[in-house]
Amino acid sequence: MSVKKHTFADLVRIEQVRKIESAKAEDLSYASIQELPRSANGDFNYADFIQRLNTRARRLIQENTLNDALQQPQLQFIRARRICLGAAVILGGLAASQAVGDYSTLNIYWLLAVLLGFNLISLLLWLSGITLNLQSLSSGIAAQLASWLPYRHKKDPTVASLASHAWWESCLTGDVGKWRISVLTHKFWLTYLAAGMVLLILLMLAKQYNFIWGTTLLPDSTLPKLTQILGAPLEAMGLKIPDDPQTVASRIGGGKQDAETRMAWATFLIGALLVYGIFPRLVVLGLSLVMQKWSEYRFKLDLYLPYYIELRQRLMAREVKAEVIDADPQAGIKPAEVTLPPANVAIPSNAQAFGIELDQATRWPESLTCRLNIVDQDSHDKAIILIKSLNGPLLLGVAAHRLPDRGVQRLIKELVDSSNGKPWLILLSKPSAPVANAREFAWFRLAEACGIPAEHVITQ
Amino acid sequence: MNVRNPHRLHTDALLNIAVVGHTNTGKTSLIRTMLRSTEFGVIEDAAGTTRHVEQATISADNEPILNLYDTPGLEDSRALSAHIKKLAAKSRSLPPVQILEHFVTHVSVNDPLEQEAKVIRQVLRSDILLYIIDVREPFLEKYRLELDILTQSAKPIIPVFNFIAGHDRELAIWREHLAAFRMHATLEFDTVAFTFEAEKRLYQKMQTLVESHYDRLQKLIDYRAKLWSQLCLSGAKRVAELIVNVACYRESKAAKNNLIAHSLIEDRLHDFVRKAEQRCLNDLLSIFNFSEKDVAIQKIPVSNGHWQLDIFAPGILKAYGLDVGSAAAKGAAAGAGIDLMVGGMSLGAASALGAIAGAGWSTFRRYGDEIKATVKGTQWQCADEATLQVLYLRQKHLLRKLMHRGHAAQDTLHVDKADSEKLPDDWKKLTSALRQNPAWQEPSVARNNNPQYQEIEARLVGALLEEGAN
Repeated sequence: MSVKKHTFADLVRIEQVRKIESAKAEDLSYASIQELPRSANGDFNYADFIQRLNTRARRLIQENTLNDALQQPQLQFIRARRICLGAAVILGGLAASQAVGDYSTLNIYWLLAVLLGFNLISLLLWLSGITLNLQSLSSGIAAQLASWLPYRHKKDPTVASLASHAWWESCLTGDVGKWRISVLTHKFWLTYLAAGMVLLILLMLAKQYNFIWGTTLLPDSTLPKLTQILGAPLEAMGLKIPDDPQTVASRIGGGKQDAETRMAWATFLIGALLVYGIFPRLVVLGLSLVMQKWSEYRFKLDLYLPYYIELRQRLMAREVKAEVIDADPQAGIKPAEVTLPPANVAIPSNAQAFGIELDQATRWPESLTCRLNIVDQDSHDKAIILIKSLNGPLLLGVAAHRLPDRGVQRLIKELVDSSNGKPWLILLSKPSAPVANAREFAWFRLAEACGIPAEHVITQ
Repeated sequence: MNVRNPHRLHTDALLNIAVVGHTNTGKTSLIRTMLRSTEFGVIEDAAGTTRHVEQATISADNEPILNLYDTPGLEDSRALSAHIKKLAAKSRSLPPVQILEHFVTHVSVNDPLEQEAKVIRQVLRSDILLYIIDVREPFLEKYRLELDILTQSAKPIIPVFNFIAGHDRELAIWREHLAAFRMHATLEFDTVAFTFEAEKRLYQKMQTLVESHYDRLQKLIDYRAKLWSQLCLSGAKRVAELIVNVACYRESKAAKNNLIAHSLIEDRLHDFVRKAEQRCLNDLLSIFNFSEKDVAIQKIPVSNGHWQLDIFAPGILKAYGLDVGSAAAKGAAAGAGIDLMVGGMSLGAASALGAIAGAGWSTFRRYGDEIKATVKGTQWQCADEATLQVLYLRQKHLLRKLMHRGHAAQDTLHVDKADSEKLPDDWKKLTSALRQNPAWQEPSVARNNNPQYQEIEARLVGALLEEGAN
């Protein structure tokens, strides 16, 4: 495994640069990335590629002073978070003070319902949203609004709006977004509960409250029983909670309360807020933070995007290292110029035609008959004997579409040397195999090397 | 001088593979294809283009696997054979391999057989020989002699048939002749019409010949297979992106039936489609590392990086087997109204629940524009069905071409059968779903996480790769 050298922030920055480049490439200057080191040797490696993208992005950002624009959305998010948390403090405080009211009595279950009830509902919604993977359940209204941001498209985007858009898209959508918004939600509720609890403690420090409870619909025994159930974990922790007589005595309209009962209720109230409100929120907040980090760690760029594909070719083009291990002693020597044969050279009369490695499909001009096709040593030897005994010009037919090699050249040279007169060469072509200019040239060069004059080369 | 490779005894030494053959049979092309690089060596339609021995290493994930050696072509095997026979006659007691060694150590720089000596020298240093055959050539004595000499080196030889496309008869003849040399394990590897399967078989053949390198070669095969499928997937995804991009595109127009406004919109739409297709073409060529020259070789109807035939040109529908009564794609079509069944949020129990929970808001988010448009009385113009179809078929055809090429330069007579491409089965469903989701036009994390989008993309990619893969 390669070591991960980049952070989530790097990836977000790369994405932001991508967005800006895709819409505003012509506004950027690219001077600083000109001399970016050429491609790495070896095969493609994701971490290396990201590293290179990152270097490139940093240079572009620096050159075009995009830094402020790129950081703007993050700062906005932090600001929005502060506002959210501020609102949570106010709401928590308000809830607590509302529940307490101006009286010297404190309705215990009403207070718990206000502070913990909504919290519980939101927690349950979040849990079901996370388990069923439904974004709309797990995030609250504010978060819903925030998650809408990535869908907003501007008609004429500016660099700043593109940067924000890219930031929203990478940080507020997908897995990362899900957990980031979860973290925000939990922080909100945590602040709300903490604010409520602190206010309550302050109030209880400064004022004396009688704790009461009451119900209209439920049987009288329900709430004392609930107190026992809710109190069990608190008792286990060594806190003193109201016992049965104390609970019964605190029913609304009951008599005066003694200090011990008040103390027990106060402990119960604070304990319940801690155990059922703040503690679970802390746990899920911790979980969400871990998950956010994890999903940020797992966040990958979509390298199938054309933008990255193009950059991948540019930044990661692989160079093949080849090495000449047995050099050509004649390297660099240019072949001599060839004289082109004149057009429409007539076939000499009474020519003695021989074929050189011809295949079945090769056609001779009608006036000629091939005496022998040379394909191996035997036919070669036979041809030499024949040529020596023949009168009339020697005409060698070669397949123009085939490539003359040194073997063929040597063979032709031997035939030419054994003939008495000036030999001729004819380039035979067949309709199924078109002849390239380079091929004809190769044959002309061969003719020259074998001592066949250019005016003795017949092309068809 | 000892020509044996000093590293040969080490088990961790790389496998050395010499690519040999007659001149101009495509040795360098084969190596280029295996290296995936057009930069290796020089390729020309002439004898003796490569006149030195050049080494390149193939690696898998940065681990070197084997060395390839490009050798000069054997040009005068008759002289070479005669020379070696003479040497053999002089020293009868020597085994055939040592005669070859004697030959390469004693050849002078100016010897006419110097080039052949280079080949034999490399042959003796290598573990496997790839003997490249141009099947269009008749089986001549000179090729028989080449094989004779190469067999004398006592190295395993894998004959590789090149330029096989359309030369079945010639291929059969070559097979017959090679059988006489007890060479049955041949390979068809067309450097022009490259298929990944053929390359894989080449490495598999090597595996059977050198057991000690089995695992390493397997690693190479696996690595190459992975890269290849990634490459094809990149290409297919790019095409899918284009289809999505165009299908999701819409232009709003005022309800008044104004002819001038309509033609303006049509122009804008045409322009958009052309540009989108052009970008896709550039990206595809770049993904597959295709140069201008490769484009020409593969007979891709592209010149100077542009399609030769405009997408709205007359006759294009017919060229892609679409006969819909009109000769050209018109481009624009009136957009459909809100269709919750098609464009709606993807169904499935969980999402349905989510949809209910956030119905009001999501619906507005999704259909806000449409509702607004309905109120205002504006209409949409989308790319019409024929345009989308041609777009898809053309890209699919291109993709298939790109997936079957080699880094070789050669003339072939490829018959262009563009009309053999087919649309995916549920094409209509896919495109109408796309049309209903204009927000998908640009890539975004949200879009890519949308299950309905994922399904559509998977369908398109699957259909694009379906026939192209084999």
